[in-house]
Amino acid sequence: MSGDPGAPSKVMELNDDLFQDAWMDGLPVVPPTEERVEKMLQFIKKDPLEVIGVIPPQMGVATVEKVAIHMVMAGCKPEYAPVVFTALKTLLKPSFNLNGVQATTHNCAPLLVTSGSITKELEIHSGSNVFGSGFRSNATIGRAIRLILFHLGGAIPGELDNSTFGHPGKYSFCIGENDEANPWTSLHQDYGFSKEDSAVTLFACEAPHSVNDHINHSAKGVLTSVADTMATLGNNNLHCHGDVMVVIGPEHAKTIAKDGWTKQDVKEFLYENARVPMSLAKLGGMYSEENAEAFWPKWLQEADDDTNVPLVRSPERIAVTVAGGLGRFSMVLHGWGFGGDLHCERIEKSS
Amino acid sequence: MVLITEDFRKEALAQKKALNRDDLEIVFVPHPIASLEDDELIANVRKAYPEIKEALKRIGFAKEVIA
Repeated sequence: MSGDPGAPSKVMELNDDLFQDAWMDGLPVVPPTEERVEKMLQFIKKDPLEVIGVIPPQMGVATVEKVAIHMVMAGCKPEYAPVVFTALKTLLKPSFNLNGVQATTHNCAPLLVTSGSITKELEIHSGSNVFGSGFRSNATIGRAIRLILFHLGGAIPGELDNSTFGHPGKYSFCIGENDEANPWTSLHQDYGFSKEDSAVTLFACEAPHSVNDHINHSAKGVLTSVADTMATLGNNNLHCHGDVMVVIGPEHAKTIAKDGWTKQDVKEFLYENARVPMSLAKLGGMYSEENAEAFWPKWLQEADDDTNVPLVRSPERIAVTVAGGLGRFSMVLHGWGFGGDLHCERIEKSS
Repeated sequence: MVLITEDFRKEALAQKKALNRDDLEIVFVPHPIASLEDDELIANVRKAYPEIKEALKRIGFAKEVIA
């Protein structure tokens, strides 16, 4: 396999020790040798001891050096640093409530969506199998963040991370927006940034849920399928009213745009139509009068059983992006509602 | 003072330490709570009440009010 038959076993021995002494995500890591970390730090060009923040719930301190170490372990190229650092700083905003996201019994994990030129520059995949495996940028950027959340944040399953199920996004959860297939504004433009910017959007959400629509040739038809897939009794949005993300597949996006629908039209349609009858909403999920008072607007608290309950407070709480490959599918990602809501931040390319 | 179910004991104590909240009184009660019927909930409350009372006294509540 190599000129030095000892090298592979030394790497695995280190990994075996790491598996014994430190909690890992179940997969081997790239050993964070001094040489590799130094190479990473040379690219990052920040003081290694600069503190980025403390990672809840364990409150481990994330210095530049520690982030670099985790990027090495995850298998990142140094040029991924601007995305990793921007994503981490965004997760640490108090409004994101990372503490809650890390510790909740809900099955959410922070998703990273990059948009703008950086997606192509770093070869962050945005096409076929975008939520799957096979792309170094996606896999390692997402994994670097997860490893930081484990090691520094202490989000170890059964200890500080008590998610009932978790989901595969807890290995890595990073995609790119498909600029070529997107007929509308970029995701970051919806949050006030300019088209020329590059950005990363963070959202703590459930695993993606597929929307199959192969028969409709109209915007309304396709989005009716999306709306109905969104509107379920058991998702957290119904009773906790956080955010939702819809990832429209390229073929669906083309159909919707062909009818002249803008992204705002899409959001408004979904807000009006992704609803659950009140009579059903009261039968499960997290329904209670206390939760209704805490999360629902007044008009909804006072509504009768004939009312249809929206999943979000307003159309603006639905993020719409385009990604994926061939095929007539889209994806719906429900949020948590107690935090982890959509946060979009510009990426400064000097990390 | 907070009530936390037993299954979250490790997490609660870790958070208490991480947030430097030695002053936080925690009373642990059996897990779960959400799926209990009313009579089961009341039985658990009665069982936990002496400990709750002591915890409240430690944080300065002086008078027990029975409603």
